[in-house]
Amino acid sequence: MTLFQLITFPIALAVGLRSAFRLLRGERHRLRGVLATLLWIAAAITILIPNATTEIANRLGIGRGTDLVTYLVALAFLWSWFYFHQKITRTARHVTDLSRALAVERALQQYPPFPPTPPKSSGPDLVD
Amino acid sequence: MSHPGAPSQGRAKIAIVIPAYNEAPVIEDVLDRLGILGYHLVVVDDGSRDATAAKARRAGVVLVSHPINRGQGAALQTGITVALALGADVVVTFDADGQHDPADLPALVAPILTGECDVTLGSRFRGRAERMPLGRRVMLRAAVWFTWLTSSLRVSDTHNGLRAFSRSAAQRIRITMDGMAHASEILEEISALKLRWREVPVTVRYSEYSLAKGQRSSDGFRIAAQVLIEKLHR
Repeated sequence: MTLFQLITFPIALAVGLRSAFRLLRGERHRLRGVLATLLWIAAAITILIPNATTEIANRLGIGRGTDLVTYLVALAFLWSWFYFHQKITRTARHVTDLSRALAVERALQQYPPFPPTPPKSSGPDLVD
Repeated sequence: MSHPGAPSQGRAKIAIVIPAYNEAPVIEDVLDRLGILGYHLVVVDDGSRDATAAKARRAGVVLVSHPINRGQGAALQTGITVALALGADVVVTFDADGQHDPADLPALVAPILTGECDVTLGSRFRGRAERMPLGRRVMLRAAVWFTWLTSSLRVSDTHNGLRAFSRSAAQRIRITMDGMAHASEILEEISALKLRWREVPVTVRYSEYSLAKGQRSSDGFRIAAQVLIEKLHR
């Protein structure tokens, strides 16, 4: 076992097991918990058995294990970008809704409805 | 402006919604020019750090204040909400930077008052664009093509802040994009809700102030990206 494996394998395994325990105790969102657990366990396995990725890549017809990892990282990046973009957008809209609610409430307390005024010959009429 | 002479009582109550962010140098002049027309003015101070709100308050308009800056789209939706709650029959959106000409307003609201259409959109390309830089012209033309692709509305001008809505159209359109992409969103809403619309020639006068305050040509790419990402999310 290399120095890299000695350092990273226990970390990946520990995080994966912690994720699994939290999932079993119901402390995590189920789908996200399963995905996180699988991700860390897969990371631990590929650190311990580096040829595993090549084996899987060959079975999937990709070729090299590094190509498989690159594709997965690219997919993970895109997914996380969309996820966080959506989350930030949703939060920003909540902030806007809150700002609007405050602004509208204050304005409606302060101003009466637009007052009726006598008709003027030059003004626009409303056609129903 | 508390609206002496504003059209009402069998006549339309027309509210002009003016979103303003740090517009202290020009807001008084814009409100003075609008005030003499007798419309109901609703200024939305979008968390300005300068004297915009104080100057608008002195002008006697309906002043709505966002506690923090949320963007022009957010300010417009807030102003429209207040205008409707105060009983507006027609809601007009008008930029605070002095680019628009109040003289265009009667022609803009007339097709709505006669019931001819639900929305009118100001077009500087059917009217006049004074001192418009070449870069801005190119960007706006590109935006028109983009709008043709994304909303199927055959408009000649896309990001013109001068528009008018009937009460029912203003109630149905929801602006959810806080920033400048709201202009594209409004067009998409008009298309999706199958509202009757028409373009009206208007004048847009660019000044050093409005060019410094307004969008950069490069913003067009950001807005296009926002619109496309929003479509992916839906």
